[in-house]
Amino acid sequence: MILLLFAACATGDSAAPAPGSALAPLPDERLARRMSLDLRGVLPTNTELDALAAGDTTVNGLRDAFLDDPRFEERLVQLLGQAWRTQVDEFLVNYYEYAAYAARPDAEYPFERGVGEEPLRLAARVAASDAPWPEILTADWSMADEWTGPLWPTDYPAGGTGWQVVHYTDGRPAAGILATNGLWWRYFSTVSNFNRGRTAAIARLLLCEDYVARNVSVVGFASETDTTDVEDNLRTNPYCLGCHSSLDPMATALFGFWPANEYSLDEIESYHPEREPLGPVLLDVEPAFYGQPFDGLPGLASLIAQDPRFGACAAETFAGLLWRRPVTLEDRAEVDDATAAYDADPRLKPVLRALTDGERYRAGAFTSAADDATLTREQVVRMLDAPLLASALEDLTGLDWTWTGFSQLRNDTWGYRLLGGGVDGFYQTRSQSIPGMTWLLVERRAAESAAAWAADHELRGTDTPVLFTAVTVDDSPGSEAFRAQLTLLSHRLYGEAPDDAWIADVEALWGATAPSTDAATAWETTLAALLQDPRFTSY
Amino acid sequence: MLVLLLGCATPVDSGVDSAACADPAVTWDGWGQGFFVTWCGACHSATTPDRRGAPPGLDFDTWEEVQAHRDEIERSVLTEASMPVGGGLAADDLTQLQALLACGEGGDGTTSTAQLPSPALDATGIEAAAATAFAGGVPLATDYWSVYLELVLGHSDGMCPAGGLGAPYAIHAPMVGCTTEDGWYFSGLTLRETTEDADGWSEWMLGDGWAHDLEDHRLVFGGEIEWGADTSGAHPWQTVDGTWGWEAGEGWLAEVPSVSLATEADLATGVVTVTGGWTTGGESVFLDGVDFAPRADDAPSHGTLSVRDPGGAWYTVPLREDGSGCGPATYADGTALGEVCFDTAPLAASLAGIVP
Ligand code: HEC
Repeated sequence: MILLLFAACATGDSAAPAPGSALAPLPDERLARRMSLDLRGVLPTNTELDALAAGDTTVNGLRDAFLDDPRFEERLVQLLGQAWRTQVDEFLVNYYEYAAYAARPDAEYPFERGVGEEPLRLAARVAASDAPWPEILTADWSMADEWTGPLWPTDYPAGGTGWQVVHYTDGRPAAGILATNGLWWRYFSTVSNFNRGRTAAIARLLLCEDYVARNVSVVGFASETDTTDVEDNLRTNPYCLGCHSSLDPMATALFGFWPANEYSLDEIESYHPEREPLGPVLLDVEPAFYGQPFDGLPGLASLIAQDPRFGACAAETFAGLLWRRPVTLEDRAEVDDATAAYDADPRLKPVLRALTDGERYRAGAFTSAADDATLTREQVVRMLDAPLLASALEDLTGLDWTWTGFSQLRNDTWGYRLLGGGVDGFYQTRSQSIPGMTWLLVERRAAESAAAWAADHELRGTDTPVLFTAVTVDDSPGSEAFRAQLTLLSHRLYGEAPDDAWIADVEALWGATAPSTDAATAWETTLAALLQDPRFTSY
Repeated sequence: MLVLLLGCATPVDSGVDSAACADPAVTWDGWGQGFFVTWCGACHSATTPDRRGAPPGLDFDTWEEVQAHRDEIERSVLTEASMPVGGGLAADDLTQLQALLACGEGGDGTTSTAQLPSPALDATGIEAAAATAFAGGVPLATDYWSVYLELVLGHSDGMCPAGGLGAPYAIHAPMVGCTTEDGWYFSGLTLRETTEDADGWSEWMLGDGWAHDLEDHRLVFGGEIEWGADTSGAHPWQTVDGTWGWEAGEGWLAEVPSVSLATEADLATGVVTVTGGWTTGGESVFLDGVDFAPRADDAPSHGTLSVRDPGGAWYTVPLREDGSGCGPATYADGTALGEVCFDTAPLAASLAGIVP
């Protein structure tokens, strides 16, 4: 049923496609809605949509405003989190190993996000402040909040709260995200792995080179193995060398993060400068980045920052995040456009502008020119996943759905992130693209909670209305106020003008509920239903 | 199709099929350089420190070089699949490479150089940094062990930390921590093992935790320490890896340093060789095969002593063999900083216990 509704959206109203194109763009208002969700995590306001309708701004004008919106930074954390996969619910050490949190189960979720979001927040700060993107590799600062800053060797201000720029005090070099605890707690290497796993993570996240996905023949490996010494093999066996000839020389840079015991807090929260010289010794290779020698972590970071694959990877990564699907060779032209934007101006916003200008991003429906490959590949309708649903509903109604410290739509230990189509960073690495049963249940529950919250605060309580701005509990169907309220809701929730049939349906629903309850409850029921409309849950 | 053919930058004169041309064209700047760097650069580049047997001069750093070896690349990668060593190319890469070789467009590519923070210290600064790190002596496993024994035995109430120090000499406190009757707090565990075999004997301890006293002084056990000797007993050795210390202790212990270090002694000559480093007082040093003769209280006369610049790169000082404790300092970028002399007396003093 839901699937059918989604499919219906895909072929619904759309702007005119380019001649011969397989993709038709979303109408402006829906497109502005998509951009607002992607770039701010919230729905556009009625004011913004009115300005668009009145011709006072354009879709791109709104897009540029969204990029300068304070919420852009927060949204980037969530978006990049799906690609860098650091918002995990488990690290090698647990929150309760810190005496300060030992008796505080409510510390678990904020502590885990405090750790995992460190590199994301650093990158988001660089992007939001319009600094050059390579600064994510050269910054001598990082980000910490009150859950990690005071415990780790940083200059987080005593008594401070919230995310702040900090400097580590343990002698770690300036290397942006490559010098964050958060990245290396997520991508730990065992003591005997000598940082190779971490190096593979660097290549995947920053160069879009996935060593693990390499198509290496294991059959050949068996016959070539003439010694049981693994380390020896890595340096001589051709099947090992394929990866390790480039991987190991890079891994030499990370030995300041090499713990003597990966479970010891003291060992993993601090940098160990004295171990830097051990890299080349233990790996028995000279430091090099794909054949180019360097010295230390800042040297490696500077080479990555200058590498043409770095900008191209930013373009590819964000293309995948915004298109909500894997990027393939067929996408080369559009990804190249975004890379060119980066090469001309190496900041993230130009990349996001180029991508959101693209046909693939704007697609809202297929045309009859779409072949099977296009129909399979393109994601013309996107689904609100749990974290996006959370931020949209929070902004819409004020509901912050939290239980004993756990944000219900943003974690899986005590929450519904995965069930609601989100990315957990370990098992699910791309947000769900078609609705499933658990997603439906989570969405329904969230819609009901948000509707109840709004009714409680705006209709039963005395909060200044943000959603029910045109009606009071005294208005009833058929009145001007009622119609005005539904019109506002239609734009705000769906980015679409209402038609008479829809207004009649909604009034009927309201009218069927009110007599046995009261106006506030009728609105609560009605809003819960409106929030389950596929036009709301897709974008 | 016509457009595609016109798009070819170079006439197709080899076996590479013109149908492989892509739209938009595959370029050196846009794809080629990244591909050759990723898959070939570790072995086939003019700068690589280890060619792994790749023929000298056969480098793919520039579009010109790639064009010059077009046929060989085509044969080895596309036809015979003998390169890159170990294989692993995805079908998409092969498609792109074919298009690049057939009708790709050139470009200047980008050249990059590794950057290094400029050196912050001069010769005097290097000496001062080393003096700070040397002040507490060489971190030794046996120093830690005796303090640890005294503190754990002195404060464990049998329940916290559990396990006591009886065989197998392990203590165990819950990771959420426990408080002893006299108010000490323990979190985590240590494991300990004694080994005796044909090579000699050793004592090993693994630590993953910490404790603190009533004034919040921390006893830290994180990593591994080990000490032992060969069967003759003439070559005692120790290793310290991790973060170990006792804030209310003496010498290096009070600094709770981060360490990765091995010492080896020869009782006949009275020489102790130190390899590895530590960080104390914000300064990091690394000793590579530095020989001390604490019995004679001589300055080291062999090995290399390195000191870390605050920016993260290192100064290296190969010690002169004249026992002066001096040598020429060089920064990581090759900058010579002149003669540096270290006062290693605190190190020699701390090693004296090893060579009675
Ligand atoms: C791990 C090191 C390594 C990597 C990576 C590597 N090569 Fe080689 N290459 C070698 C060695 C070793 C030889 C000499 C082999 C021989 O003589 O049998 C060689 C020889 C060659 C030759 C000349 C011999 C011939 O077959 O014609 C070509 C061309 C070549 N490589 C191309 C490449 C290309 C292109 C790549 C990347 C796609 C690559 N190689 C990646 C090590 C490497």
